[in-house]
Amino acid sequence: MIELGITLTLLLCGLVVGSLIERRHYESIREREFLTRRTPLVSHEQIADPMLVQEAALVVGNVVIGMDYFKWFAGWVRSVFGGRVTAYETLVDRARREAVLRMKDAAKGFDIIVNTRIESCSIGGGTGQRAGIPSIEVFAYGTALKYAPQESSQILQ
Amino acid sequence: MKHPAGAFNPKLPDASPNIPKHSLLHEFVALLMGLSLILVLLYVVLGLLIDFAVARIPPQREQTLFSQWMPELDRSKQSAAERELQRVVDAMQQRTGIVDIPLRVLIIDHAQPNAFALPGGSIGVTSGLVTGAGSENEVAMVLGHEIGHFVLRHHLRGLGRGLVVVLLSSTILGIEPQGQGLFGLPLVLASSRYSREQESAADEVGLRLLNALYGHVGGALDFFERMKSEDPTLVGAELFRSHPLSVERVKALAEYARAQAYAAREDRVPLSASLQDLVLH
Repeated sequence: MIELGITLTLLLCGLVVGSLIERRHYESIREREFLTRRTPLVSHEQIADPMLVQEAALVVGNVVIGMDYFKWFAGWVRSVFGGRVTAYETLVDRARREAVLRMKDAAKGFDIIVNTRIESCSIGGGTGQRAGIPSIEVFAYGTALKYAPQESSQILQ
Repeated sequence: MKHPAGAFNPKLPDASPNIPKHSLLHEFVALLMGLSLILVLLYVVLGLLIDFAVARIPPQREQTLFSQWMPELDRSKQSAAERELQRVVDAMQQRTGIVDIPLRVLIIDHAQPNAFALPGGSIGVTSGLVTGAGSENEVAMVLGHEIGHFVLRHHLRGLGRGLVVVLLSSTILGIEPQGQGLFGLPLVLASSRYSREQESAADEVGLRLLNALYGHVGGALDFFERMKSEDPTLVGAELFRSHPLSVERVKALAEYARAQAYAAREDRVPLSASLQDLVLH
């Protein structure tokens, strides 16, 4: 009975607090995505004409987001039956967008980020009897470029 | 240098296709109920298989199975009080020939009134049960109830079902021990319910034996009346209990006695001297 009470309390905490944190995080993400929307992000290794570049720098954004007890449990129950693990989807989405935003933050004053790469891995967790609640790490990196002062028509070619 | 204003004006999409629109809680509850249902179904099916197997285990085989790890009870080592209870059990057995294995009574020194039927044929009775009893009839009802467990082979069924619970929780739920509290719930409810049914069935055998021994069933309800104060007051708590509420048992027993037309006289056989002398340590 006590075990059940603890589980239910943790689930409720995870559900209430976890949802609140997620909602706030999404609000912040959308706001910052809007503010940084003019910094393009591409996966090309370089822009068409490297001669236009005045400055280049490696920019990285890194974030670790912890899963809450409810998501973790819901994900486990889902894994018994299979299908879309929706509990984890928002987590990965948040982590990816946050990492990109932090990379853009590091690229302040630059015009474009090229060669963007995003990597992810899970931290903690483990398996079997010693399983803990895992976190997800997303690491975004790229090359920030600053264009040399030119006529706008030249940049856009 | 920034892109010239007006060259293009990027916008953000209104919604992300990566965020699910439906409620996570609904999905979770539905999946949880499905999983619980599967567990209970497995429990019931495996339980029925056990009942099928138990009916086919001869009593002698059962005795040899359990003699290794159940208390070896030499009757010559019984105390005077234990011999008194043994006399009651033997008298019931003589009059009805109801059990196929020899039964042996042992008294366990514990204040909490309780009794057990142990696999192999031992009946354990706590000293608290004896010292608090008002008559031999009252104790005989409890002994008859335990004999009922042997007759109906509840100890084997209970043991088998216990194994099923362990099996289910270690194989399916063992993956995530933290979840056992939640997934254990349907299993606990199912096994508690099964146990209550067993107790009620054993009560009826006990009543039958009491009637066979004394010719009436007076005193049958005394023990349960005594235990009424132990009934939980919390609504719903009875669902988790292995035994029915004493109030319910009294009601069911009275009904059964009426249906069987058992007489209920007021006279009682007093506890013999050695039982009265039994003190709690």
